[in-house]
Amino acid sequence: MWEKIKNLDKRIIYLCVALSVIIPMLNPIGLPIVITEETRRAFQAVDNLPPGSRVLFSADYDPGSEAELFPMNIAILRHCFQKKLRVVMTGLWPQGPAEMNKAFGEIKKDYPTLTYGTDYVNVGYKAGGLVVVNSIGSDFTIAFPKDQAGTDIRELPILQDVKNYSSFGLVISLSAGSSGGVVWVAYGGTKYHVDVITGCTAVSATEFYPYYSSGQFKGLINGLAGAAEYEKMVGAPGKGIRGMDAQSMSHLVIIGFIILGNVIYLTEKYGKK
Amino acid sequence: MEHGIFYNETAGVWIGALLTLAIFSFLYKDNIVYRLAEYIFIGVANGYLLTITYFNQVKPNLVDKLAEHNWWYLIPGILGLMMVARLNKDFAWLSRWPMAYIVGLGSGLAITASVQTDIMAQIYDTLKPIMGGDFITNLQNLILIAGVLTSLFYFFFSVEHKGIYKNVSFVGICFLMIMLGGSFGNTVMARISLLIGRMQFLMERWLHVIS
Repeated sequence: MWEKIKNLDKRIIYLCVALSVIIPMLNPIGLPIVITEETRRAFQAVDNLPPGSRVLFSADYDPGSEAELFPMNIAILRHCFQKKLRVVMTGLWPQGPAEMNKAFGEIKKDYPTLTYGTDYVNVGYKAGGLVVVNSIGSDFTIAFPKDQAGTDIRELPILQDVKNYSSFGLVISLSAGSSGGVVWVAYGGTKYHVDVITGCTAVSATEFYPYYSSGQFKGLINGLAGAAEYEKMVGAPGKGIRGMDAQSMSHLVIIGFIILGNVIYLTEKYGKK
Repeated sequence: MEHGIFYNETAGVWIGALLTLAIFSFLYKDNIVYRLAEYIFIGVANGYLLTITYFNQVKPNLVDKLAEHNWWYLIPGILGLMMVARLNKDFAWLSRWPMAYIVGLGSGLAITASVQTDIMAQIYDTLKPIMGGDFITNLQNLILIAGVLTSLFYFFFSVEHKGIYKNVSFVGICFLMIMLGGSFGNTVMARISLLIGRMQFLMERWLHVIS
């Protein structure tokens, strides 16, 4: 029997993982979501800003990372508008500003009074990564002279008196890699002393934790689990929370297979002696 | 059909669903449907990037400026064209000039920021007290310091890793293994999240079996 399990067709493993994702989606279990310290701090960084503060919200990802970053994009955006913050949207990735528009499209019906140019604006994508982040420190209007629609930013009330990072209470980066959170920390946070929080894909999390630990990130939202935590704190369950049962079940299945593989390995190793 | 078929949401959902299934078909085995979806993705992504780069970068920063008779912008324009010279081996040497500018600018910006962000801030964060606080904090700080020092020692190759050095190096390897384990766990979580995202799309938007 061990031999059969050892030579198990990998497609059966794929099937088991697929079922562990599909079944909890059809029949939610409602496993508890525990708020981690890093997500709580990210939430507090937004929550502590006084109403009317300007935040620079950068979507540094594309649809390939939507599964993890889009739920947190919606949750953070909702939180910003709950707190009556003014949101300046951008992106260091070409599809980032479109992701911001999409996230806003998901929640706009809940905030019908929000006005473009007064409460929020999308200044679009700018190529250059670190050069863009660095140039905002000198003069925001040089980095972004026009918004996404081509309107001069001086004509928009939200940006009329904007200078540089001193005009923003917080920088938020949803980061799928480079350019992303680390660039905002290095060229915005460290150099110009603006507070930066980030939401990242779980793959990038180990790279980002040292910056959180050293206080360079004021908060860190880690993957889909972090998105679910943020949704819970905002009080608006979304795709993050809905995906957590599937996430937990699939992890159990994978852990089960890892343990099984190790048991077979150890049995073979010591059985022969 | 206000905007034509390309803005029809149902068509978009069906195309997305079929392409998703085409990509998933690779799990059974490599096949032509998977490859077709892969090529479509690469083509669309590059087409999108090219378009958005032109309209967000080249047009406002070069074409429009030249149209307003700002002739200084000819310099970056020419430098940009020199990069394209790489495509011809006889003129490839021309690309070294803009490349030198980019490397110089990038290095100048990156070195200062890296020293401040990746070295000074991280060293400062490692200098933590191991006495005077509560027991858990002291222990955490001690583990952090031991982890950093032993991991760094593992990469120190000027002395042979024998005797005490071997033991210190082994502790460093253990810390590195724990880090790699954490990294692997996060990678698994990320991949499963991608699967969940696609499944949510298929079941919610395409099949309507969940809301």
